[in-house]
Amino acid sequence: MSDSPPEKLARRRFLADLLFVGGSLVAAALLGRLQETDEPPASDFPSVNSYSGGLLER
Amino acid sequence: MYVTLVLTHQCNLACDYCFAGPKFARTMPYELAARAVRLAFQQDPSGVIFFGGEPLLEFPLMARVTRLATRLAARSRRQLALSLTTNATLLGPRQLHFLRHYRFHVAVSLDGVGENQDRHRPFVSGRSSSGVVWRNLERATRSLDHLHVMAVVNPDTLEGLPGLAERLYRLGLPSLSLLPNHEADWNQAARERARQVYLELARVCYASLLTSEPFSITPFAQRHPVRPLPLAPCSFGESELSVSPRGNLYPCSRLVHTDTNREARIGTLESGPDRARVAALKSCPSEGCRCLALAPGPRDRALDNQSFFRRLAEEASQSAWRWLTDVRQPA
Repeated sequence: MSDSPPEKLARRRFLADLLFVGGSLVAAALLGRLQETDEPPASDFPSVNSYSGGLLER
Repeated sequence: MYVTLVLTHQCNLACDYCFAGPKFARTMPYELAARAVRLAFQQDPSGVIFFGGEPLLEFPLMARVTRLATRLAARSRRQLALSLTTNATLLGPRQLHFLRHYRFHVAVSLDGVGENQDRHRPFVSGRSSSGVVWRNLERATRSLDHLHVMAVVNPDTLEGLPGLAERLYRLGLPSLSLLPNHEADWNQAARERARQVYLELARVCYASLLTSEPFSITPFAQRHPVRPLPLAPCSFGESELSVSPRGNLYPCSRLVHTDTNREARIGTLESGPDRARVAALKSCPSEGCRCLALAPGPRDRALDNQSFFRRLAEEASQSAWRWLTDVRQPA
């Protein structure tokens, strides 16, 4: 992880207010500030299937 | 080979929908576990997954098996993935220190927050599990680098899912999987509510992927139109198998149940996996997960629900992507 946990959690709190509380209008305002591209930025998607114990939808 | 060790049939929770069946005290002897671990190194990639019942009820055994697996991996210079699936009730400081040291991938299975957790998932005594689980989960988020949550979705806990997702996101978790209870009564009203909740969560997932703090929600992340989360197809007894406490082999942990379903067995640790038996089971006609078709009991409802949730995942993903595209259009 590139950030210290407090910075990460602060960023999460800010984004959670937009994603979960703000609804689509606020999300639109957020996304309007982002780069106009169809491709999302690279993310560190975890590979979750290897530890699901066979429970994940596949 | 990914080998799932069902360390025990025992559990300290009494989830009323548990696919592992009735609980009883039977623990895998160390000698069988050691043999199962050696099986994991017969084929790359190698992984050992601790499962149950609740595997942390047998923490000393798990620790001993982990040390053996790590020694074998070092000796043979092989990569080894270590995983644990747990209900989080026994994730104390000692367990977390151990899991962090061995770089475990930990999957926590839960139902939700507060009463949504307690409705179907109390302790065996009937006591609430929510407080313990969430205290331990918060502790785990501070200790572990590889932590994932799997939320069981029931018709009467459905509305709690957005709140659950929000809480996990605020805690810093990177991912969440939704696991519908296919045995439940998903009537028309429940399915309609599921549509609304799934769409809401698909939007959250896709919108978060445009930020520096992505939140990968299964089944939507795998259906992202541009950058889908890769998910290996089920190998069902070929590059993964499950071992019961008595040493019987199954193609998937869902089929171990009480270790009495001979139809689903593919061998023993003594004999090794029977490839012809695996092939025969793989030919079992089923549109979705073969385990649902092979599990004991009436299957029609489960298969119908599975089909519904697959369609719903597609619908919600497509609808969320259209929404995202629309809101990003310049005014």
